[in-house]
Amino acid sequence: MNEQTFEATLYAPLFYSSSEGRAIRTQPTLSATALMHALGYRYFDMEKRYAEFGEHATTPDYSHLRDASFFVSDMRPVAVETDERTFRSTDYRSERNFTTNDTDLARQISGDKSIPSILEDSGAAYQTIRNYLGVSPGSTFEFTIWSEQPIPDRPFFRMGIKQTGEFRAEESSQNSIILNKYLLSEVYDVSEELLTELMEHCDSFKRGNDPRLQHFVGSDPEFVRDRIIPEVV
Amino acid sequence: MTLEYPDKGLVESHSIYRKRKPTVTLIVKRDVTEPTLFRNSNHDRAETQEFGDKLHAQVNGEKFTSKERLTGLDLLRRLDDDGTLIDDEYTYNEPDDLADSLNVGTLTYGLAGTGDQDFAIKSRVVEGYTYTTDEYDLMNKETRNAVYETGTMQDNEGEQSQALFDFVKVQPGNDLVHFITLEAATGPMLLYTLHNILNTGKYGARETRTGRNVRNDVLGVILGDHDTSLSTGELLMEYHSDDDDLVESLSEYIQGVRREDWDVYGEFEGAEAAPNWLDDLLSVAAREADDADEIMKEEFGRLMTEARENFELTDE
Repeated sequence: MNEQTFEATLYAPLFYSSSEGRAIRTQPTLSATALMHALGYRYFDMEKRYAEFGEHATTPDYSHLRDASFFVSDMRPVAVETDERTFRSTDYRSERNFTTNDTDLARQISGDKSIPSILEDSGAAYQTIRNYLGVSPGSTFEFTIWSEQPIPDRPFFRMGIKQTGEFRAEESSQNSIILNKYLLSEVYDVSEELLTELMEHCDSFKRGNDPRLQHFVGSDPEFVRDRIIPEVV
Repeated sequence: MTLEYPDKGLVESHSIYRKRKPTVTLIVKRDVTEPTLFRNSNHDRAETQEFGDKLHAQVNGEKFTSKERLTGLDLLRRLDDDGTLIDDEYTYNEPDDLADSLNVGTLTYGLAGTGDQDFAIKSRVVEGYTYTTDEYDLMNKETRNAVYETGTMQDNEGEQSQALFDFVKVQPGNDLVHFITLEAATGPMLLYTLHNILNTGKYGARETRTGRNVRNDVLGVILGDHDTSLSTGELLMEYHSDDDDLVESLSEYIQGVRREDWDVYGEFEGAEAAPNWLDDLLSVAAREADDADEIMKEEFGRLMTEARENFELTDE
């Protein structure tokens, strides 16, 4: 099993919802679920569905990741800026969107101020008004990948909404491994016992208000290599 | 003329699921020919990004795709005399059901249907963020007065207009390099995308009043068995300085990140001269060939037949 650690540089603004709702926030740690897809499509012949219907079009499904011949860590922020890029609101599944300069409206969208009832009670397009916060170009991240076949020394991949996040990575030395609890427990069905052991073999466990935002920070590389990787690859 | 497509970079036929994802990247230089206003959260100017110590205007790729998609739909309506290419009822941004929404535009650029039927067609075209190649001068404001119906800045009582507003436009001579990647696309999808790029000349705010403001030029084409995408940010941040020649920087960038399976065509160092199939494709896409409309109609018709079969819409 190859283990490669990379430092990735972002070259375009990345919008990516680590938590959803009215305010779409990109937290500085980028989730492994997104990175699995980005690398899978590019380097591991992962199947992409160009059309989805009914519930499949609206509900995420990660079960196909179980068949992947590789596994990745979360992307640990090295030097990251998560500035507010724009007030932008849009219906999740349509192209309808609008931009506003109205500070009051923007505060309503971001959840700092209550939404006028006319917007709350109106049709679907207005109810899904969203505020996007993004990661700025020039930000850098570290991640580790375990795979049968190594990936190139300088991989390029895209992530995020509309695939705007353009990354080029270079091999680097490993500083810290962050593993995603959602991926391990919900996608790979890793047992509670093993997750408890992993918790004892990491520096800290970071909780979030969304299942996908829970991370094992500073996981012990030996433990990950010997116990976790054989379970998931 | 019969169009030929390359063996590399494209898929042979339309399919909903894909494991193999060959790609084509078009290197497009967007020459700004008239002052152009790209606005975002600020209504009077573009977003900016600092490279080195200079400010560059940053433009979201959607500001280009949305205009190019409309050029494409206009073409489909013009070519369609029997209702096979685009449904009369179809309205961009207000899709109804899948059967009415299926056309070359939605197959190529994607569509999410939220009307009578939930469906999502993913885009095969990736147009990322792009940046001006030279400095974006924020001091270069254009200040305007609101004009009254009289056509002057005074109202009918002789009062001077109080309304002033500023714009910071991207000035002519400042260009944008854009890498447009088609993923797992068929030949007709490439033809359609090229047509839309070469026949769209108005972008940004107030384009209907300022006329043609951008001229697109395809500098090169990269074909690959895998993802050939490139990043304008990476080009400008890592391979281009103020005094450098843009095409030289571009050539250096492509050679620096090039993978073995890439075929690179264009008029720059390290690239091969355009083969016949590419010249033919460009002349049909630019509507320079005499039989361009005929060829496009035939190509798009073929794609629609394949797609209808794949979506099981042939009986309706």
